[in-house]
Amino acid sequence: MPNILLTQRCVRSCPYCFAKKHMSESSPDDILSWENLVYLADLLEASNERQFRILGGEPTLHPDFNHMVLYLLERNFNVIVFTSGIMVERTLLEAHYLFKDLPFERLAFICNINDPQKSNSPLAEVESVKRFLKLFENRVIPSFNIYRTDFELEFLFHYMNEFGLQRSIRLGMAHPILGKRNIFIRLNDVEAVIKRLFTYTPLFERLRVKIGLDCGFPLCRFSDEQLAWLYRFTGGESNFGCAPAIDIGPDMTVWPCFPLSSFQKRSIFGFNCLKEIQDYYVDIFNKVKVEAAGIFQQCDDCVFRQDNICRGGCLAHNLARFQNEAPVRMKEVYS
Amino acid sequence: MRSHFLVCPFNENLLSKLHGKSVVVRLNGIEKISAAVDTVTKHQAHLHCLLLETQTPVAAIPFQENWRDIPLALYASSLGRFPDFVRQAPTLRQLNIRIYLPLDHEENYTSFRILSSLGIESAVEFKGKNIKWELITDLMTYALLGLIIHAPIAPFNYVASHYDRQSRNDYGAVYFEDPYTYLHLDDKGRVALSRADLTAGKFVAQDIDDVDDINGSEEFRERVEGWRNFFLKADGCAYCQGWRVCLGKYSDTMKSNPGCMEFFAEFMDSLEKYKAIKKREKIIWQP
Repeated sequence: MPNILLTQRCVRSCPYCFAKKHMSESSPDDILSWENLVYLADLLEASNERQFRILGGEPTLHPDFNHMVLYLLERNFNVIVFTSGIMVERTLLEAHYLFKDLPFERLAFICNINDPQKSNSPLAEVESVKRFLKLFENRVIPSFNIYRTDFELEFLFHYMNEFGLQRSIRLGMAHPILGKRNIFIRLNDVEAVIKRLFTYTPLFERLRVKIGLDCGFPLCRFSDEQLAWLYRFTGGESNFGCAPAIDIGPDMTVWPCFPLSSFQKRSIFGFNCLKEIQDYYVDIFNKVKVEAAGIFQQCDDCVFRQDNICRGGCLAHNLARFQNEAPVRMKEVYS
Repeated sequence: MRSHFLVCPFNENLLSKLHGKSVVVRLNGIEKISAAVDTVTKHQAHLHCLLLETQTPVAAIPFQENWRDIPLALYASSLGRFPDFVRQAPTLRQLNIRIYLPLDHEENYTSFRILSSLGIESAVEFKGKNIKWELITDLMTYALLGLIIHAPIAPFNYVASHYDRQSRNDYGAVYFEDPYTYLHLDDKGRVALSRADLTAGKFVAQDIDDVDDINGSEEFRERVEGWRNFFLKADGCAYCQGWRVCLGKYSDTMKSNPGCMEFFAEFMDSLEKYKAIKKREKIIWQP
C-alpha cells in the first residue's frame, strides 16, 4: 500500500527523521495539487486498492487537507493519515467537525508521538499533540519510533488511558537514510532494543495493548521465548520484513521508502498501476539481496531468510554500507 | 425531417402553444423547477431538459432526490464550499444532470475533474478571453484517456462519441447552439438561430408556427454554411490542424490567445487514440 505525501513541510525536527534526505532536497512549498490527487486516486482505484494512506511532512499543513480527505472518503477510500498531531487550530476543529461521526475503519490517524521528556519537545508542541488526541480519541493509533536503546513507553500508556486512544501501538525502529546523517539504531544495538521492548510485556498484557512491529526488525534477534510471546499476543501477525512501502511525493515521484528516498526515484507517470511499481522495486530489492542477503553476515545462510519468514533487516543498512565501499557491485545498488 | 428542440423561457402562455413540441425551458431560479415541469406536462409538450442558469454555487443549491426524472442542464458559477458540495454529491449522482461551469473562475479548471471522478457529468463553458489552453489540454486528456472510467466531461466526451475524422464535428449542441437541433424562442414566440441572436433581437421567424419552414430559409442556410467564410478569409483558422473539431469557435480570441490551435490539434490526436482504444475493446455476441 503506497503512502502519498500531501506536503513536504514538517513542524518537527526529530533526530531520527527518515524523511530528512527527501525533505532537504524538496521545496517545502511543494504540495500535492488537486489534479494529482485525482490522478493518484484513479491509479489506486485502477489497482483495486481501497486504502489511501496520507503522509507528509505533516499532511495537515496542506491548505486543503480536510477537503482532500473528504474527497477521498466520497470516492469510497478508507483513509489513514500519518500525523504528528500538531495541527493548526482551524484545521483541527474543522477536521473534528467533518469527521467525528465516521466509523474508525473509514478514517484513522496514526499519530507519531515522541517522548516529551527524552525528545525535549517544546511545551506548546506537547500541548498541541494532547489537544489533537483529546479531540480524536479512539480514532488515533499511537506510533512510536525507537531511536535509542533507553527508550520509554510509559507516556504512551498514559496517553492511551487519558485520551482513550486505540489499544495498539505501531512501533518502528529508526533506520539509516542514504546520503544523510540521522540518528538510528545500530546493528549492534538491535538486540538491546528488543530486550528493552520486552520489559514492557507485563504492561502490554495488563492494559491489553497490541503492538505492531514496523519493517526492519530481524527475526534472529528475538529469542524463541520472545517470539512465542509475540505469536500469542499478536495472533501471529508480526512481520520481520523489508519490502518497498512505496512513497509518492507531491511532485509525483515515487521511491521505495523514506530511508531509501534517494534510491531509484522514478516518475509515477511511468507506471500504469501499483503492481507495476511494486514489481519494479521488488525486483531491485531482490538484486540488492543477491549482493548481501541481509544486514548480518549470517543472513546469507539463514533458512528463515531463504524461506522469506525474515527479510534480513532493513535494506538501508546494506545500501549505506555499499556506498562506503569501492563500487564493484552491480549498478542497481548504487543508483 | 427531425423537428427542432425549442429553447424557450418559462412562460406559460408560450408553453401553451408548444403542444407536442420538444422544449428546453430556461429558468433562472431553482424554485421554479417543479412549476416548469408541471406546466410543460399540462400543455403536453415534451421536456427535453430544463436549462437552469444561476449565480449560486452548486454546493448551495438544495438538490432533491425527487428531481431524478427531470433532465437538468445547470449553469452554475462554481462548485462552492467543498464540504457542502460533497454532502450533495450522493444526490447529484442520482440526478439526470449535467453541470456547466465557466472558465472565468480559476478553480473551475480543477472542479471538472472532481465532478467527473465523483461520477457527476459536467461541461466546460468556454467563457472569458484568457482561457488556459494548457490546462484544458490536461483536462481533455483526463476526460478521454484517464486511468479509469469516470463521468463524461463535455464537450470532450461528446465529441469523442460522435467523432468522424472525415467530417466537421460540431459540439455546439452541448451548449444548445446548433441550428440543426436547437432554436431559441423569446417570450413572444419569435425564433432565433442562437442565444446570441436572441439577445441581439435577430429573429429568423416571427412566430413559432413558422419553425417547421426554418431549415429552408436563407438565414438558416447562411448560418449552417457559415464555416466556409473562414476559408474565404484564409486567416489562421483556415490553416489550423484542429479545424474539423473547432470550426472557428475561437477565431475572435485566437490572435490574443493562440493556444487554441495547439489544443485542438492535441484534441484530435487524443480522439484518434480514444477511438483506437475503443476499437480494441472486445465486444462479445449477444442475443
